[in-house]
Amino acid sequence: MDLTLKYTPVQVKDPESVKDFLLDFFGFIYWRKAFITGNLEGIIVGLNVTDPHRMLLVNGGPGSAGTLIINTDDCLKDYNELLQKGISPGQKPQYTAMGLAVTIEDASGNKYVLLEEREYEENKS
Amino acid sequence: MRTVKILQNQNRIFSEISSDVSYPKQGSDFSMRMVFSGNENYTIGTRNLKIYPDSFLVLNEGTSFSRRIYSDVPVHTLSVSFAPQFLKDFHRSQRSSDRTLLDDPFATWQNDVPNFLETLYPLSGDLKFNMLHLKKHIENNVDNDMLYNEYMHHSLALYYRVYNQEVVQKSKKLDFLNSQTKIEILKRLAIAKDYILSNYNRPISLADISQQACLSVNHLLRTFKQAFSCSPHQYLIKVRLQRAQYLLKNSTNSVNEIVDLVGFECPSSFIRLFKGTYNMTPGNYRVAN
Repeated sequence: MDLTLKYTPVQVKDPESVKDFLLDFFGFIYWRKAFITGNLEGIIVGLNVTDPHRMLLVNGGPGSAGTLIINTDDCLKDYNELLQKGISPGQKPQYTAMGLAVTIEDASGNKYVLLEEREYEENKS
Repeated sequence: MRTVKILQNQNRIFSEISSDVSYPKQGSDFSMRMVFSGNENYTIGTRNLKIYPDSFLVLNEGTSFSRRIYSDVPVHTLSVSFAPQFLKDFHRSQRSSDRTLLDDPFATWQNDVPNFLETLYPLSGDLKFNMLHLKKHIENNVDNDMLYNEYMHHSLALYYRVYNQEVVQKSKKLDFLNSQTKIEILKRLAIAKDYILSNYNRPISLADISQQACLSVNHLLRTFKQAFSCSPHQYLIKVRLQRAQYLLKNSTNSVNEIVDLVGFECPSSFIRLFKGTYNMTPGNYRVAN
């Protein structure tokens, strides 16, 4: 078998607003609406044309706000850009076991975790 | 090539690439100084220190020093200095309750900012990642005070964390009741540690280290072990192995050349110690990295 991971379904509240948030503040691009199987429909977004990995934003229904983890190579720089775009994350960037991360919440309660992964063992030498 | 960024609040960032340069007597605000390749020599009073990529030097406001780079390879240095008001404000935010900070947000910290221990600290983990980002932004000539100050704030917060590990926690390990004695012993042990870190590639004896630190050999052995959980000799071996690891990864020197460069007397004992510490031979380590 020659398999690839292309569409990752993410349950969110109000996929349209999540799409707008991702496009406006993180520079995502919109692909299209999709019906993958009978009951799996949503909005496909991706980071850029060349990145084969795309997210399928699926409506999870009331009270089902989702969490999206988006990797960055410079969390503080992106955090600073978000501040300048008028977004005020509820918290400051935090140092975690995986790296530096900041969480932003949209009006529907969906969370976006901007994560700069850091290889701490590698960094020792 | 030298880049200096002076922010509106007088925080400063200096980045330089050089292989032969000398700066006679200088002074600055509280600063953190590091290199990302090669090494840089500092003279502070009678102390001679060398900064390598695995450590950074902290100097307090007003300390006078001279520094010199003389190297076969270009040395990339970075130093960040903090305006006294920025440092005081940061220190107040660390020491005061949220209630106090809300009630009187612009009060000036009345107490002095601590005189930090002027020594070499390990440059690793988040602090190293942040400094590498800062270096990249300076090199790319990014003009954004807000971004730089965000990095300065984080660098200071991470330094406080390192200070806690390297000074506060280590002083707690010292078996003395009098706090002044603890501080004085720790200062002298820091001189001993810095001497090892700066001269690891030369044959150094316990007598040399004890002379530098102004501690008798027995006093040095006992207190060094309390603070660093190893003897000065074990610490020296650890430094030599770490620096050999760095060279294996970042240079094209042969294993035999590295043995000489880091101060081991023979390749066989180096290979045995390396394998015992990292569970692989130097050759395998180089291939894996």
